[in-house]
Amino acid sequence: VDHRLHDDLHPLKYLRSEAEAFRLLVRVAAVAAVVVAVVLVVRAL
Amino acid sequence: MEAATLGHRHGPPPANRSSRVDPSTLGMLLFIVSEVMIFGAFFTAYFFIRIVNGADWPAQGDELPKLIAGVNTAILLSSSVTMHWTLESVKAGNRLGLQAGIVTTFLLGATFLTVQINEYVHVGFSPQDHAQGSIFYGLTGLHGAHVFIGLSLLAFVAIRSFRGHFTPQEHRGVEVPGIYWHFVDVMWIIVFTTIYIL
Repeated sequence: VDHRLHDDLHPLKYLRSEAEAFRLLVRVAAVAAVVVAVVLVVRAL
Repeated sequence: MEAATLGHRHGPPPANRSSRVDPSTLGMLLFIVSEVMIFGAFFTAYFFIRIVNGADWPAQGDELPKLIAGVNTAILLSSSVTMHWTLESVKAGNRLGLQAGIVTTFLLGATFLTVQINEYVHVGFSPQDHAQGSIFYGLTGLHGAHVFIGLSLLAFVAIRSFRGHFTPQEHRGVEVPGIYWHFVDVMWIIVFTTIYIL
């Protein structure tokens, strides 16, 4: 069973450690900043 | 006597481990997965009201305190930086850094929650006024509840750090609450962006 068990948890690899979770937070903050900037620019046009 | 001869141990048998991920970390990961689903349900209601129904956001006559929420966001993000510093300190064997970091993280989180409660007092509408109010209080309140849970975890970590429970080799008690705390901050970035900014 162990050989067939898929336990890599790829979607959650960013939450396997505190350091990875912190990096995820920085990435989400960066993406959110870009999204907000784009939306505000589009609204201003 | 007979049990000892046969190699029997006292208590239940050790739990089966079917994953290479540490059990406490795996437990937190699965918990976070369930949390994402809960937040997803609330965001579904938010987008249904705003996109499908095309309702005003916020409701006519209401205004959300964007500047205060923005400062509060900076406070919460700062708490993630200090949380990261806390774990780096314990890994380096810096006990003073561990204690100062976890106390600072707790205080920043408590400040965030206090400002959030103050915002509820002064925002000028209530959950029963309209659907927008229900979603606003629902989403921010759900997140606030998570901050409260996170603060409870941080309080335990702080107490344990002052009792000298953590070492550079064994610090899962800091690492796992740290993962949760960063997740709470990630959710706030999404909540803040959608509720206050967009």
